Amino acid sequence: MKVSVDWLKDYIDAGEDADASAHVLTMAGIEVEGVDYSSFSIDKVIAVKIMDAEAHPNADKLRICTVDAGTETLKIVCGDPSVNVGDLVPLALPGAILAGGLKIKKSKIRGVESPGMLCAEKELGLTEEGSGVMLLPDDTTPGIALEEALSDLSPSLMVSASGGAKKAQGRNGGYSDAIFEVGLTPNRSDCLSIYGIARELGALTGKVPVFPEISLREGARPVGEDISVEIKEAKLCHRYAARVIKGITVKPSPLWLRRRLEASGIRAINSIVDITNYVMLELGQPLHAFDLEKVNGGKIIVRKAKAGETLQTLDGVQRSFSGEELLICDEEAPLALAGVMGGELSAVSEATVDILLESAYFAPVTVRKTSKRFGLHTESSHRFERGIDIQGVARAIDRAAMLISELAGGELSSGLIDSYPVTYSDKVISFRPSRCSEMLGIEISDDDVLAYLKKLGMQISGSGSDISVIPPSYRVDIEREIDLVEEVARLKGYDSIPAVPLSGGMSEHLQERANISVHGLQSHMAALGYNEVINYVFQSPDEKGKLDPSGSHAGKQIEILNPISEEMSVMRQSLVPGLLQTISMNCNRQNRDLRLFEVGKVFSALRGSYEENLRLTAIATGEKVPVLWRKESSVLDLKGCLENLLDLLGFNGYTFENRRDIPYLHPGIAAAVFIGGEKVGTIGELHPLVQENFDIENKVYVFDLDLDKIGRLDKGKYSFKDIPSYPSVERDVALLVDKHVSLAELTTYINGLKLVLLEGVDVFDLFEGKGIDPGKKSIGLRLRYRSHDRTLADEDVRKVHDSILSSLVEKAGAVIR
Amino acid sequence: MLNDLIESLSSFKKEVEAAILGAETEKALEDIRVGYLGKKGKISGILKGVGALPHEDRPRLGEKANEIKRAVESTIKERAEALSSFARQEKLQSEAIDLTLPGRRVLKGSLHPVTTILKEISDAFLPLGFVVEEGPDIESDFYNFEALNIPKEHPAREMQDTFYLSEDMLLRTHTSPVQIRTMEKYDPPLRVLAPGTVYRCDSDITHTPMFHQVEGFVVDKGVTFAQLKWTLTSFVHAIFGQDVGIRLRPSFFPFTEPSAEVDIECVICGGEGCRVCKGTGWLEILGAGMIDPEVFKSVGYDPEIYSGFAFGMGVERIAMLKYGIKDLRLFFENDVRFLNQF
Repeated sequence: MKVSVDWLKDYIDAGEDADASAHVLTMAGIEVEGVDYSSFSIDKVIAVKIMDAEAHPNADKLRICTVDAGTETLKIVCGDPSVNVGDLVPLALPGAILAGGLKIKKSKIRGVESPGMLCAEKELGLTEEGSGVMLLPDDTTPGIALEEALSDLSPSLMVSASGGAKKAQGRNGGYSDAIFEVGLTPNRSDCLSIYGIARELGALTGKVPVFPEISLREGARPVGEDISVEIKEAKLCHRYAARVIKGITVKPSPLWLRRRLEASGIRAINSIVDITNYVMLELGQPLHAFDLEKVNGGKIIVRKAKAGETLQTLDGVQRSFSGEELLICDEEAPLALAGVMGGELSAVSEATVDILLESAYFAPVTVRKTSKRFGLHTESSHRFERGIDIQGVARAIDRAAMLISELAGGELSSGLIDSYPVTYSDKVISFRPSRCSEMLGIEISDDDVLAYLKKLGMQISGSGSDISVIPPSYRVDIEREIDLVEEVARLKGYDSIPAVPLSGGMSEHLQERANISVHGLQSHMAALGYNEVINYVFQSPDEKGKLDPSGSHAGKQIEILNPISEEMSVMRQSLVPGLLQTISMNCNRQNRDLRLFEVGKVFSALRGSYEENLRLTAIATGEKVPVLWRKESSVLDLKGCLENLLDLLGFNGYTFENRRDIPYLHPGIAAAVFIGGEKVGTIGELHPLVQENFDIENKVYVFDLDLDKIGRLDKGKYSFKDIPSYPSVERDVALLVDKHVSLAELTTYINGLKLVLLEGVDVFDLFEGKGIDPGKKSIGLRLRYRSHDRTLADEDVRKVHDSILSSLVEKAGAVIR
Repeated sequence: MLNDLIESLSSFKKEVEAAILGAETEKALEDIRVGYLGKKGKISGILKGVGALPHEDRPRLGEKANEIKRAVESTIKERAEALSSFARQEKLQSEAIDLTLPGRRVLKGSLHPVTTILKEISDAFLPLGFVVEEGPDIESDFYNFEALNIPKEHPAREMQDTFYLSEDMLLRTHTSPVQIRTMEKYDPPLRVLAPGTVYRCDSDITHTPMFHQVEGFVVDKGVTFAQLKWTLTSFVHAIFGQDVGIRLRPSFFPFTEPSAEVDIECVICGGEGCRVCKGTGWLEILGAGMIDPEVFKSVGYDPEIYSGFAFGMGVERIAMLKYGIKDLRLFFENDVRFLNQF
């Protein structure tokens, strides 16, 4: 919300230092996010009357206007074709400095001298847009200063809280203001107005705010002659007040009013609409003016929409209703969307003569629902949604009626229609002042506590710990004792509350997933040369297809009802697609050697519930060693990393099993990873089709682990084994086996013999190609034997070794080389 | 006669010493040793003349001969040592490796800055007795809003644009639901830290639809706002340094009362006022407050007996301030030239 400090000063002495006021407000929870200083001058700008306009001798689009400047006649070159003889317009004389710093001097335009410039509103800093020369009221006297021509201030606005006449401030044509950009929290609806801010500032500084003057001159005709009000939905509309003003003249608003609206970010339209907006900004009560002639049957009915009913709102959009919306209607049709936006047909225009003013209280929920349904967020709905001061409804309509009488003339019908079916009753809060020191941890006397509350306009009764507090009606956010504690803390100042160390108890329960430390795992991966990435959990629905060449991926994808975009409309079921996209993106940026990992959740819908699963996925492509030491990389480099990782995590019983059925992996280069017999993940080379789908040039290796599963695994008790006292004996053997025979197969045969003396098996050589039958490979095994109670004799070893060899020959069809 | 022999021994010594010093290899040196000192060597040849000497002169000659022999042997030994040291030197030189070449290593990996900051945050709180709790990313309306005193149609819901999966299920907009889940599960006292991923339906230069938060809360008898202030001050000092100032401003969150926005002195300009802090000298880094009695009621805690505070912060925001990262989107783009800097 924008708050003009110049305007604020109408109601409170805010001092000269706007920054100081901003700080006071900010530290009390009314955050001033920024202060914008603006100033410009319309000094040396006068009103002139166009007497004659002739063509420019040297330019088609320019004219030379003869103008009456009061004491003299001037010839001004003008480019606006819409200027007519008889118009009253502003003329900037040499020496004037206009909005945006434009300096006016006497100059020749295409050979014709022009002692000044006819101005548009934008050039005068009156509006943000518009290009045509500004038109002044017909009764303006040529030659007077523009400031004077525009400042037809109403007498009631001439007195400001800071003292002195308001008019004096603008007399020299100068204008300067500071605009606060206030970021209000949704609870503080009482501060959604300039007066509300003044009231808050008063409570903080001790200065007394002055409420704007209201004095009405009502005519003889009773309001009831023209209009009546019926509220059919009292739960949704607690109060509806109306006034009628007849015989008004709708015209542009005076400068001061336009400026204030502009400063608040609202465009000026005409005096009537501007005044309703002005009073809303001033007091926080949204108002609406109807063209009385368009209210059929002289009756306002506040009711719910009928399904299928329509209304064209002020923004020109035809709205069609479901039946839930609260409407303001006449006897025939809807006139306005209650609390959100008026209808186009009943809007006040230049032709309007009689108006009906509305000031009402609509329930926050109904306004919010309607505003949400139509995506219509207006200044009015913003205030109703947050709760307005129901007790201020009549005051605001009277204030607006007074300003309309002054600026648009007409006669105010006598009396106010005030339909108030749900009357406000004071909220009485029982309050123990001692709660302040208990909750805040400060020493504060009961008297001081109550003094703070009084500053905020609260009524206090009772004594000791039995206090009743009645907050003012505009503080809709205060309902409970704790709310009062907060008010005390706020007024005392958070700065004055000391910092006191924690004492008392700690949590008695322990952390979950203690079996592995996720952070430890991340650190290990980084140490192994992998860069951690964090991808969005959102994916495009077709990522699944890209990942799965056989289309057999199980589980149901979770869709987001209101995604940012189609590309981010489903929840990921695997970390792999995100990592592949990361690879693809990096390769496009010439980062081709990549070792990446991600720890994150994947999601799927299973039997009506949502499953979340934490995973670690690592992916490698290109090289990631210094250029000098590069050799051909293989999936076994990645496997090495996985083994290192599992070692570092403290698991030792892990095994790998070749698999052909992992859809996104190369069918010949893929394996499942087991720990203690439980499958915890997969590893392999990316399927060439998937690689192609993601537009990646080099081979990609990937492993994927289920961390939830691993976290639940028992690492078992670890106990120390004695260091062997007797030497080991090693025997090497070279076997010729079929190419598809895996090492795991061979070791299974060997281990199946359950030989006590066999300590371990290592592969020392692997060869295929030249000199070996195609379809075969040569594999060299180093078998290590040891006894724990003696030095092994040749004979001992030979027996055991031979039994292994014959088993391999027999079961694996191996040929000993 | 004797003098002649002594004379020839002396000149022999000079000759052999010159030969030794001229030997360039161990083999040449051995040849010299054999050639001069061996049984058939030159010195033996000279000593053959002993027989012609009178008896009384013989010891003198023997003495002289042995003296020269010892001197020559010692010279040979010295030369041998010199030669072997030279050979070793040569070998070592030939084995030289340029250690300014790159090591055979895996190239640097890295932790994502969010991970690093999360770790720093938990390192600041765990010594105070906090325990880490986690909750699901997919939450129900109840845990994410209702139980946190954010009823339907409340304007506060507007503060957090929500991704919905169904009428009732959504992606959590903050880590605060973990408060409810933990309090439902355990009785006070509680000191809990809840890091996690959160989601909001918002995407521009300063908002990503996914980011990270850390929630912390303490519940016990007699927990005060003053203790909240101390806890946050010690956190800020741990993360940003001992001399960084902190201030609390009143604010509003539906689940805390009183509520506070917490600012730290601008770490870019030191409080002088700059572009990052919009000239104020302060940076907003977290929201906090005393847990609202309504929240306690929703988990069955008695607000007359227990009080507590809660705080929540954006991890990326802290990382951006600490590392001077200007564009939030970099965190999820995962360009390795970004990742490698951490």
